[in-house]
Amino acid sequence: MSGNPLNSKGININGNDNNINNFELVKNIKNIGDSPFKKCFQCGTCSAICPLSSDNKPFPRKEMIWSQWGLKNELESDLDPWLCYYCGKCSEFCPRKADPGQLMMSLRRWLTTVYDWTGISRLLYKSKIAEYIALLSVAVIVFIEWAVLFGLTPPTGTGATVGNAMNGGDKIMTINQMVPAYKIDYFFDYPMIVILSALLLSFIFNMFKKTVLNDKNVKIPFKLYFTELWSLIFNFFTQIRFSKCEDEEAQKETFLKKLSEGKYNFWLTHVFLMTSYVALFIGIVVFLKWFQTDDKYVLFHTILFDYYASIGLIFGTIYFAYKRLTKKLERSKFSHHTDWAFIVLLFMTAFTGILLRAFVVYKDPSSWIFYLYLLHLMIVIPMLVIEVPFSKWSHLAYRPIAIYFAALKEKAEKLNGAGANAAAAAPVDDIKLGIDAD
Amino acid sequence: MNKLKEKPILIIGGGFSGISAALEITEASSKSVIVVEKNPYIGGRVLQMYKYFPKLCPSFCGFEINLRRIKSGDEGKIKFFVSSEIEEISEIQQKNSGEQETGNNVLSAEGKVSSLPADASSENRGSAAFNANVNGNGINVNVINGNGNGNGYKVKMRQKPQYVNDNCTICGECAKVCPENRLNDFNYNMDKQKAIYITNISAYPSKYTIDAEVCKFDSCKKCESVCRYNAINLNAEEEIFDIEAESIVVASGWKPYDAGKITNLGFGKYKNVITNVMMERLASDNGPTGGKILRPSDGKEVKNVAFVQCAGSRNENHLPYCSAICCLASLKQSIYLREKNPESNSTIFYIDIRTPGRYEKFYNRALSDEKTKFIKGIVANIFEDESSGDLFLEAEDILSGKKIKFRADMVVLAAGMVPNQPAIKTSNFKFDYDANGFLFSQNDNLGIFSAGVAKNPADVYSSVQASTGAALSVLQFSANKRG
Repeated sequence: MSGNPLNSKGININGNDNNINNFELVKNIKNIGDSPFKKCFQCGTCSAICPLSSDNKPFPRKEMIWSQWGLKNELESDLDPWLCYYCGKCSEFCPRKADPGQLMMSLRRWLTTVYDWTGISRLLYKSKIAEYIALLSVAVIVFIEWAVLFGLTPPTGTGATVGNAMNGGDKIMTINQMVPAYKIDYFFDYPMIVILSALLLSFIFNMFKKTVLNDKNVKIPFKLYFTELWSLIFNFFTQIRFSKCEDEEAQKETFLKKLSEGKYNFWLTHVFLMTSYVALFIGIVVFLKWFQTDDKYVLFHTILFDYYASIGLIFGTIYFAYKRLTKKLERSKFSHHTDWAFIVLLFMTAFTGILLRAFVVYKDPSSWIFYLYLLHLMIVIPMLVIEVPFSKWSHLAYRPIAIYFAALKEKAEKLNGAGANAAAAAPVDDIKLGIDAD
Repeated sequence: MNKLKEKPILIIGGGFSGISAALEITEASSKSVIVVEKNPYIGGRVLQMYKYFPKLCPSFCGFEINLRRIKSGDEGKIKFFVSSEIEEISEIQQKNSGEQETGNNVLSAEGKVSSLPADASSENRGSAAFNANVNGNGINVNVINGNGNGNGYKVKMRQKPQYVNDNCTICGECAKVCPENRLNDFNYNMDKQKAIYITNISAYPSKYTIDAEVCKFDSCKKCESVCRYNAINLNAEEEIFDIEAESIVVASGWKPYDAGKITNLGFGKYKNVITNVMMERLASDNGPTGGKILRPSDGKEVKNVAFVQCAGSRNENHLPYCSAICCLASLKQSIYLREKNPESNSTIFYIDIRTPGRYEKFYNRALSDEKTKFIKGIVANIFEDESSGDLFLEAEDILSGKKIKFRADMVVLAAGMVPNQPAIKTSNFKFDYDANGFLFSQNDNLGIFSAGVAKNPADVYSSVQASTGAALSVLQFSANKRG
């Protein structure tokens, strides 16, 4: 067939299941966010004004056209959406009001569904109802598990072991008597952590395959994986790229001035919330015994953990909810249902957690604790199971890993570039040799 | 009698389009026209241009032909009111309303034939005052969109005080003694001139003008005493008068977009960022630099100029439309820059070059020059190097997909065209402006037509075509009304 080379490449005008120009994909990206990216006329304002994008491979102009054309391969192997922190400069200056910043957000949502081989996140992002059903079903599982393990009413002790039995008869038990921490560990925390880790790691491997392994242009030297590891850890904890979301003019100002002007508020709140979350996650899963204690006079490190994290979660979630409601920042103008689910669940987790803690400290023993604990678990476990691998929470993993992968590719390209220069001389020699041989 | 009652055509704007329409109407029919121009001279924006594209001939050369046509036409058929603005226009409602029969207080063209320039004869003044009193009494304000009854329009006009009369011989003695200075708005405020000044070398009416905001009047009077021709009267007053018109041609033209609003491009912040209209003045022999393209910060001859296209145009944050001429204007400027300063480099940043039809040739001409570079990608940021005054432009070079930082001596922003949309009160009809302020729809029933950039963004050549079109519409409207 000596047809049109474009056709031989597989551009299908009728727009069905094609891997190069996927028109279904264009619709998907449109539905998953609020960006009118089809209005883009490729002037490049967005890439040029972006304070974060690199000089050699700037974004988001290329993502705009890839999305318009539904270039699935390009988009799947693209790490740049994760390198964007949505300062909104591109959207503010876009002459077509095509909102490139919002497109990058849509692409992050879409990429989450791409890395997820189970297909669950696609459902969650597609439909609000699916997300509610998913959260609810995990909550039901928790409920049943709890009912089997601990029953549906607070167990009552008959002995005079704890407290002074004024009523003589049934005695209310302390939290650890009702719900032993080791049982929570073995029946809730550990299975959950195993499942979540397995899922998330497999998704990350999927991401690695699509973005690094499938890229035939770059071969990463093995050593680099270790030498670049620091960037992963550093970026995970500092989210330093957030602070660079500013134009060149503003970058000349001192750190303290920018801090006092509130330019770092969003970033610092984000770091506060994230570290609180991570602290609490590790604390609860690994050191549950510290928290679930009958001792009213807890140890110093527990207080530090507890208070830092509680304040971080409550303050952070309220801050971001406020930003999303007032819609003043570019990045807070549009909220997908998964964004709201994340904030609301996190707030409710923190709220019920603090309430539980308060009851333990001031009211223990109390039958309230039993129900509160159940409620708390019915919120926190669905949140973790659904949000961590399948939804918005996953960005906590994907962002630093994307920076890590991008750093790997960039370094490797530099090394290869140096190699290619050396190799460029080689063919000449080969030809010479060939002539000589003749 | 019928002839006496025939009303003139009102032309709003005495630029190239307005003058062209006036000439076409008067040359093709027995009708007379009244041209109202807010500047003290006719000719409008073209006079501020250095050269026309694509032939690169001087712009006043093209306008000269029109001045000749004016002079060779029947005297009095075209009447100019310079330094004048229209305050109010209303559609005349009823033929039998009494007010309209007072033919003698209406400033018909027949009664008002007077020599150029804008006259300030006592007769004129008298009737003007009379009309001003009558104005507004007999108008029915119940039809907002107009009913196109063909009775014509009543127009209230205000002419600024004419301190210098036709006796002026432009000898220039007055300016020599004038102690006050004003910013030269003809040169986009890039230099200064005396408070009594001649607007430009081809000024028509050819006489001096006084800037009332700067002149000290009674406390100075130096010019009045030095003038040998009795041409200066510092006690002249503003005049308000009414006229009637059969139909209206809106040729109110344009102004460059306020580039200061494009905050990321640094106009107004950095001296060496100028607009395309300023570039025209810099290149003009009668401009602030005597025709040498020198950059504003230090007067250095420019070696490396960047042209930034679509500065405001095609941008929903500024002007959503394409201004139609900026690509060609920048190509033209790039070509004459390269001719004037052969050492120089020219770089044009564009989204896409729009040179329709035969203008493609002109693009190819610019392309063929090896020191003219074209970079596809819009400039998103401009920064100044404080020590040298040079500028850094940030853009994505779309064709290579890489971000670039480009250093230039001077940046010319291709600022778009904004329709002037004169502030005219209209009580019983409406000018049908579109969302961007252009009067594109030719409202045939109302007898309101448009030409030039008042109609849509256009170059001089298409403006003249639109003027001819408008002239034909005016005559057809008149004929239909009678028939």
